[in-house]
Amino acid sequence: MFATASEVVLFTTADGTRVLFSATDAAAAAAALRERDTGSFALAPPTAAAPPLTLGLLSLLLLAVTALLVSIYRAMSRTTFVVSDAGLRIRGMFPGRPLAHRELRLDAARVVDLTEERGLRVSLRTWGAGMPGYVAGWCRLRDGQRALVQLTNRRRVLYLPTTLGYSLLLSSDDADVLLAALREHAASSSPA
Amino acid sequence: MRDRVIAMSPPGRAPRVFIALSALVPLLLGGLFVDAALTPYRATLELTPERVAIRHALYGRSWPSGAVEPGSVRAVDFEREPGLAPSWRTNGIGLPGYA
Repeated sequence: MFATASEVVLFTTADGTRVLFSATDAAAAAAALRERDTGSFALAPPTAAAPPLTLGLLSLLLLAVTALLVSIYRAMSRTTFVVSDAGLRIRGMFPGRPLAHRELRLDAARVVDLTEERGLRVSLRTWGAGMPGYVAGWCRLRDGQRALVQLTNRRRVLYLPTTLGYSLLLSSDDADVLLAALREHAASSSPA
Repeated sequence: MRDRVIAMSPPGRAPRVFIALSALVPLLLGGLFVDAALTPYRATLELTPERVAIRHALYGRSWPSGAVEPGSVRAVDFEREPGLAPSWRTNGIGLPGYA
């Protein structure tokens, strides 16, 4: 069946196939078939714009998924950690709010290798993005802590507990520099 | 003190491959949908001395012209013969206004 309109040409073939075809001129197509004339009959265009509209909308939806994936990649490639006298701010996906120095437990902070520190590995992502080689967002760690993570390279990670009931896990090739900068800024901004 | 901006470690190969493959699937599906949307505008019934053929991207078929039973050929209006209107699609494309 090839139906786009209520008028169709119907014919049956020797193998028992019953064919219904909405030709633009069903009567002329039927006459040509009966008379064994030659000719070409186009399928009548759909009366409504529904087929292209429906599939156009579906295609737009799929394009939006692709755009979302591209934006995730851009975000993960551009994530930065900004240390200022005000505290620490994460620029990237799922950044959380800026954290003041007094909310950071720098005494307990350290640079860790997650391939060795299994207790600090992510066990459950509760809100965020995750794919092989990348996790960003809110997670539960294996040792039960809540954590806001920005993870790519698992061998160079700053583990930074806060006074707010969760920890930060931040991948950086310069994790030592990040920790040192946090300590410097915290020292310079603390009241004498 | 001046602000310090420290970059996250760049993503490795795994997320790039994952995103590239994940983005490819909706793009391919979108292309397939666009092609399917254009199908009703390209289908034809071709009659030649040798063959009767339905030209259609997915469900095209042809028969020897002698295989069509002349007595079976007629124009039908679904509104007058609703029994011939499609009720259940077992295989094919179906959209509002196109079956």
